[in-house]
Amino acid sequence: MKDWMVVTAITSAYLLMVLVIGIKARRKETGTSLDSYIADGRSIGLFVLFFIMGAEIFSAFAFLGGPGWTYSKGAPGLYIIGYLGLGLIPLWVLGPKTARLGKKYGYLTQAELVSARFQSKGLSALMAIISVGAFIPYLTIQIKGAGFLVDASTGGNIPFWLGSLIAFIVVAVYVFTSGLRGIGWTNVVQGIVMIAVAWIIGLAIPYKFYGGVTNMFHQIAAQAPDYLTLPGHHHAMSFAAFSSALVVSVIGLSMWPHIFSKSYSANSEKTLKKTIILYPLYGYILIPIFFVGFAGILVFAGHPLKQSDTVLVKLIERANFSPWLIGILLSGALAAAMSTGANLAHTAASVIVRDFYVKLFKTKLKERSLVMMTRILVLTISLLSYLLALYSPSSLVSLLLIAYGGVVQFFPIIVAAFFWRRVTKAGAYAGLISGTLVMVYYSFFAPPLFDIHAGILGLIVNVVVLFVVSLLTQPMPETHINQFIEDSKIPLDQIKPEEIVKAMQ
Amino acid sequence: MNKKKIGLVMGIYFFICLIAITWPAISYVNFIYPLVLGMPFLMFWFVLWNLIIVIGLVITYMWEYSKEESR
Repeated sequence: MKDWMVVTAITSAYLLMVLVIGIKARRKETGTSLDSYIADGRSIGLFVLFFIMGAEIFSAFAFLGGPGWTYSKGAPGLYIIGYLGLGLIPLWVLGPKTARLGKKYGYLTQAELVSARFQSKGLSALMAIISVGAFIPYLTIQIKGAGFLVDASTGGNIPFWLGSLIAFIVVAVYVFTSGLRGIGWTNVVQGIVMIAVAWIIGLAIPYKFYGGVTNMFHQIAAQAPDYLTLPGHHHAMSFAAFSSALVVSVIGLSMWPHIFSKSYSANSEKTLKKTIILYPLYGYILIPIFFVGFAGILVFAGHPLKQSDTVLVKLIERANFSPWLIGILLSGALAAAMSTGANLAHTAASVIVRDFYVKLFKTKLKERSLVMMTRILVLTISLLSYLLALYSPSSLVSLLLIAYGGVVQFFPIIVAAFFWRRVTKAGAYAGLISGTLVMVYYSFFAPPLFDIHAGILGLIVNVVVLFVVSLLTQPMPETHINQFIEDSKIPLDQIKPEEIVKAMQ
Repeated sequence: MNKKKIGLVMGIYFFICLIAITWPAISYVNFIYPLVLGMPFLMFWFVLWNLIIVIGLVITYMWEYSKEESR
């Protein structure tokens, strides 16, 4: 048997296993209620929730982009560890409030919460558009990553288009059948595989090329010390750029709709908080991945790689590992791309159905039909992203930058919704739109002021505009605001069943 | 009232964590040696604060729920 066949066989076995677990997770009620399909009946426990949340971090970007950064820039990559620690802390405060209102009024998405607070359907639709705009390029990156990995580790015997197609058919099938439940259990399996793989590669590669991690850093410190401190190689990232990227990510992480909406899925407030406690540990799984990037610095010193994101794959190729190991490594990296992809496709589809379609067209469709519509959208979005991955322009990374900056702009609205009674609908609109425009302007049409991340600049404008416009416009009806804020204070386990309002009808 | 106190104290705690891993604080730990656990000092600094954040979260959790049970 040739080497690439061994790799392919192991990976295929892995994909098959994920598919079976994903489909088996299905329950009888999954197909009939949105609550069940989107939030798994609000009953997800700590173990599964931890891995679902982790999927966001362990995307194709972490396995390819993370080492790519440390290889090409060095220390600036550390901001990722920094923001993983702090990024979910806003949810400590916002999450339980969201879960309480969600249980009482049947909300399942981020925009539903906002549109209820501001009594505005347009705001929900606007947020839905920004979110989906953020999701599609992100999903495309996962698909590209998957195809690229398969292509490289089978020596091109399975081409890019086929590799990414197979990986995403598997994802689309189990998300289609089992909804969030399918994602949950497959993410657990994939998460465990990824953690193991990260540490295996992260220790094996420095050992193979340098005789260990300590030796590796001694050698880099002697030959190329600029990689190991800020501002990194060739002044890659100034202190201002580094710090503001860290801050924008800390604020933005919990605002991603697929992260934020998991507040609804937790079975209790304690589960949600325990997940937040464990979350920074994902930073420790990135450490070995960073080692891989650092390892590339001296290995490829003579002939720098054209694409720095390929450093992990190139090192594995050069290390002459056995095909069995490569098969397992490939499965782990694919797992990263697929678990994130599943989550993204699922959230994007539910956002379109709930925040855009239902809100704008006031549909009287049966819940079963809405579930079917969500499922069809899962397939449509996956297909669209696949096509984008095949024919995408090279500017995907800059698209993702807009996406992140856009998502960060949700933060002031959501905080104000819970904590500032005086905020108005006009203020929310003005803040969101002005913040997003400023961010786009400094991302694409002008260099950022003082090297500060464009998302922060947008955020500052957003907050000021939100504040001023709210004060200039009529306050919102007091009874409505009081109701919203009071309801958000009643703990989940004290909500009586008779108080639950069905929002869909 | 107690909830506010927890929020304030832990808010300050996590704010310090944020300060510690951004400019200007990081400009004071921006060196390679000594290597700790095999890692350059700057990298170790981030790993260390990540742990301090987890500890802070555990404290917050225990504090919040111990009050609830003693009530």
